[in-house]
Amino acid sequence: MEQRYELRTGSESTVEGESTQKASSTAAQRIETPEDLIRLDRGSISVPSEVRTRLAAALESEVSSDAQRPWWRRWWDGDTEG
Amino acid sequence: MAAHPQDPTDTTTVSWGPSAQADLPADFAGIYAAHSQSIHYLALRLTGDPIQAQDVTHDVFLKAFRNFETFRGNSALRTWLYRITLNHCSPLRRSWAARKIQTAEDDAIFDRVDAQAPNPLDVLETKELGERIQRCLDSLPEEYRLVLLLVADQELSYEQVAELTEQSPDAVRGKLHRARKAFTRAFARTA
Repeated sequence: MEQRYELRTGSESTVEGESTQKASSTAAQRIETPEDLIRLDRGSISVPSEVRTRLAAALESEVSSDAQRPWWRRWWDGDTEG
Repeated sequence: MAAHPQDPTDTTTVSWGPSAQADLPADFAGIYAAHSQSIHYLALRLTGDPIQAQDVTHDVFLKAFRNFETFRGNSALRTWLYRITLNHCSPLRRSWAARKIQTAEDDAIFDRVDAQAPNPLDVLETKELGERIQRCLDSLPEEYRLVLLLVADQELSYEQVAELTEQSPDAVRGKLHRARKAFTRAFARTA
């Protein structure tokens, strides 16, 4: 038998004029499989902005140190440009 | 210098350069925007630790930046990034496995526990979802956990999941069936 997961989102109020079908789908979201639950969970978790900030700093350092390599080093490493 | 791609997932002609602002290089920012949430989520649910997940996400994209020349476009970029993530998490996953006693061979336990219990899954508060999913995933054999997390990414085909988990697509399908069952049982116990 197929297991169903029902998630009440808390946004169960309906806007006047919306169709019954739409109101119904807002009131309760049907979750059919564990993957649906996992997708819902994933959608609610964003990557902290610190990760991007740290990464930007690290990449900036990488790019600038790369540009400072002597020409022969870039050639030795297989770079074809610059 | 190669042309900048319009599609962040089309990375066969990507080139980098410092952007005007102190931010990610322009093309890489598109890749980060397209894939970072999925990478971070996989890392989070594999490690169960938000701080480690941040570190893994940072390290995966740094590694991708450094090694982009090795990405040949034979696989999708998402698959390549997942591969880096799984390799990066491997020591963490091993330490996780050492703490767990559950194995795939023991999955009959999921058939014995609470089989006749009333369905406790009907109503679920959103705020509890993450904690419950983490507890549930932690209780599963690692191979089930991995298959569920990867199959949940709709950008991946069964073939790509099979490639990442080093098994056949048929094996993935079979394991997924058992993983769903095990997850459902475990989820019921987290209510």
